[in-house]
Amino acid sequence: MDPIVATALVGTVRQEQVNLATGTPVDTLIAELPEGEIERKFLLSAGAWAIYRQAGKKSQQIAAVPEQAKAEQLRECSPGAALLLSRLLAGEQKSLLVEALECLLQKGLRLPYHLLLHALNTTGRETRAAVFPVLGERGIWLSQLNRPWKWVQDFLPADTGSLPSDAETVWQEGSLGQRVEILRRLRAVDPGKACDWLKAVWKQEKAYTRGDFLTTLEVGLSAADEPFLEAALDDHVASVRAMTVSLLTRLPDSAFCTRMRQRGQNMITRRKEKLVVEPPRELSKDWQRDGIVENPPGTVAQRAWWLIQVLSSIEPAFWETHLGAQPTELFKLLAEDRWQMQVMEGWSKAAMSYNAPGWMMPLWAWWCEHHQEALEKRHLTDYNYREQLLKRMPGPVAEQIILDMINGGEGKPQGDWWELLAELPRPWSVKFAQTYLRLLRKHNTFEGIDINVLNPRSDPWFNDLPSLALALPADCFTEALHPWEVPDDPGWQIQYIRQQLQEFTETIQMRQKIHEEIA
Amino acid sequence: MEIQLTSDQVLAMAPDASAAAAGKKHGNVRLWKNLGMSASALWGECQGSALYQVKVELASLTSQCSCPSRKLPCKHSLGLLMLAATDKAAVPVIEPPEWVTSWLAKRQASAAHKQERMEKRAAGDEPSADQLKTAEKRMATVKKGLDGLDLWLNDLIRQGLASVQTQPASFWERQAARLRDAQAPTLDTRVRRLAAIPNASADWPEKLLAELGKLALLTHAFRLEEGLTPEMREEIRQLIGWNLTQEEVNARGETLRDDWLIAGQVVEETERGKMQRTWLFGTKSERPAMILQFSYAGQPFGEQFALGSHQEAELTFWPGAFPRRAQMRTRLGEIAPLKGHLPGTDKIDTFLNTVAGSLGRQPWLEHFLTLLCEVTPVCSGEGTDWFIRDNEGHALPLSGSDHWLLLALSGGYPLDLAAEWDGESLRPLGAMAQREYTLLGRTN
Repeated sequence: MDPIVATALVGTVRQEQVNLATGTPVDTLIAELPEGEIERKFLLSAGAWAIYRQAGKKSQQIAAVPEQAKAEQLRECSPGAALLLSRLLAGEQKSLLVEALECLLQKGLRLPYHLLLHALNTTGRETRAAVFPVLGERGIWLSQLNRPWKWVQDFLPADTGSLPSDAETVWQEGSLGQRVEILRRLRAVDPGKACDWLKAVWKQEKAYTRGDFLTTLEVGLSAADEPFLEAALDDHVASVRAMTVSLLTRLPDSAFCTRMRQRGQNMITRRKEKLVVEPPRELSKDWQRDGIVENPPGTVAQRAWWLIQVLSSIEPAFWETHLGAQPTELFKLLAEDRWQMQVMEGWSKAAMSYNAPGWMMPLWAWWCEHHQEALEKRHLTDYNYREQLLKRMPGPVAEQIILDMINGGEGKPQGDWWELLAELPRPWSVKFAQTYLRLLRKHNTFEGIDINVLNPRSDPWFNDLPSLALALPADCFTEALHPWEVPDDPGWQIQYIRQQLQEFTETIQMRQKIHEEIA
Repeated sequence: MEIQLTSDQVLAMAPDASAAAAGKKHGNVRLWKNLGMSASALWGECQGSALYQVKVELASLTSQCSCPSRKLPCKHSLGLLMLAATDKAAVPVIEPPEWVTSWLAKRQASAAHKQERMEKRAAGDEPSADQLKTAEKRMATVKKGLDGLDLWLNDLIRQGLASVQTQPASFWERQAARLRDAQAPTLDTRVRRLAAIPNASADWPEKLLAELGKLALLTHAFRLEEGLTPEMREEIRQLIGWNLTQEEVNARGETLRDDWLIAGQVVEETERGKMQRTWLFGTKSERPAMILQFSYAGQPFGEQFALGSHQEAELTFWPGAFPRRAQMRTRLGEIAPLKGHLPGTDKIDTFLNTVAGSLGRQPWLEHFLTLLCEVTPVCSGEGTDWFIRDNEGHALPLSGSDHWLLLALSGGYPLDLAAEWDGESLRPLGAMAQREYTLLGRTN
């Protein structure tokens, strides 16, 4: 501390000799002052000294030049697109952010520098996966300097079909996300080598990382992986075992699948015109080793649970040959059995995981027919098989199903199609979207509808318009934006619909802007 | 005629974040009808809860809207400017309608009236006997107030600064109030600010001593009055609290026409409201100018400035030894965005020398406009310490906000920086990188 500051802190009253000297040219100035109170002189001296120091302020020295960001590979998006993205990144129309970011990626554009902070501060795996490829070199560079942005390291530059040159280093030193990704890519090029990499570290990895690594075996899965997977069945972590089972299920020639088919065969036999189902009464050790879980979830009965698990691990085509009948016929043969519902569950799960096209429609039809029954029975492991099946059908097929449901028998809406609408792959096909919009406009004329008894909150056409706006393909925007006429009616129903249509229009407008601006 | 604002500049005019967000939303052509623009104005009708008529005078960016919002500019005005900035095709150049021309005519008339009034006053009659008497009385009151201040300062030094650590806020307020009563309002603010120094940093005794010392120098200078140049006398009087009216400034201050670069703005909370410093720089005269605005009780700041742009204009400076505070007298040209290098130095030491030179002319200056070229932001300690470094390795610490944004704009490469220097650190106002000027420090 400078002596003058020390003196000021203590106070002149406690000092016999007050030292005014600052050791600067200020002292000569002060010496010229007429005699007076020492405190006054002291203050003037301090003031002049402060200004002297302020004027003589020196800069610091920083020798090291920081590392610079690499040159950009992608073009910066237009100012109009940047403005739009700034609104989305600020939280407006949240559901459209990913769509806009994906648009950028498709057009080979990147975010402008002034939006990088907002982009790096996003949360959620899906958003970040869309943010990462449009960060550009600058964004990647910036993310390395701030700890909360380290998530960027979990992503690897776009998959170009070949492995990055530093693949092995990434595998050994990278973050978990990076390691999983590099393993996945190696699987695509050289599955055997990837399996060897994994074997080498298997024992020393933590349980949850083992599970994450195992998922990469989906890529290029073959009989060559069987020995490793067979051994992994004895892993002490349940989630790792479950993942192993789901992989083995996909190797129809494996010993595992043979064991499963044998178990299935023992439970379901055909006696002339009916199927007889008999699950075991006790769960043996070898079943458990193959991943059959002993205790059922919820109110499902134990034996039913074992049955469902085994059936869902057997390729559905097996039953066609083994029982000598097509799916629809098999379902009929099962009609009498007390285990009918459980067998249907097992077969549905199997049809979906094996993606058995010949089974989808028959199963769909069966669950539609038994929808009410399924809802009432509480001992099912799942209740929404219709939705799940629909989701896995090819887009045009699923869309046709919904249209048929809407049109119903004689032009009257039938069934609860609106609950299934959310399962259609998005965006909808132009044809379906156009038809749907036409029907919506027809409905919006309120012909033959008593507005006073209409409850738009539960009406299938009006209750979820904002979500509809997200499903429409870009080619239908103009059509969707034609003005929507609403009758002049002060009732809350019409006001509610007006508001829904307003929101719908705003979302479409925003999406249209995204597709226009990001070009 | 084309409006040259960027969306960033429009948003910088927003009085708060919610107005900025709403402004962005209202920049949608679908919400507007009867849009148009002429050489002097921009207008349109916006469908909100009602149909609002919005108009903007282009030279001053003064806006008016028929909506009931008290914000200035309101979201509709911001939306209109936003639309004009981003979607030029949406605003055709046409003859203005009656509701726009009548507003412009009214504005012109009132400006002319004001000018006339000022000229009349400038022509100035000799002060009346009453006025002289009032002035004399005030001088006596101020002198008495300063005597009191000197006693108080001496006593502080006698007792030692360590003693103030235990003093309540009222200790400072009491002395400040005495100065207010003594009609020395600027000194009142200065003393009130002292309360924030003790224990606020490790070197607080030094800072407090410096401020007390400068106060003593000020009262000392005041007593020397006759020995000072008229300019210095004018300066000292302003530092104590003889405030000049706009008319007085126009009458007595120097008017300078230049192409003024509008670098940025700092808003500070004060005891009774907000204070805004807008920093300008004359590109031909190479002179800085500072426009001070005050807002009380949530009222908007009156005049708008398009930050990050430049405009030909006449400014009038407050008279003094180092005229820097100024007011806008006449706006003469179009508002155009900044492009290319900022007119600054690429050596930090050159800038510090300029500061020393300014202090030599007016030692009580506290804030300085800084324009640095080819400098690089440097972050150390995971974003806790920030510096700006020139190409010779000289560096100054950064304060304020938006440092990460500054770093994102730089990418480790040099850029041009506009900042406000407070003697210790630089507070970023804006940065020029890739020929784009980005405003900084608008968020806290």
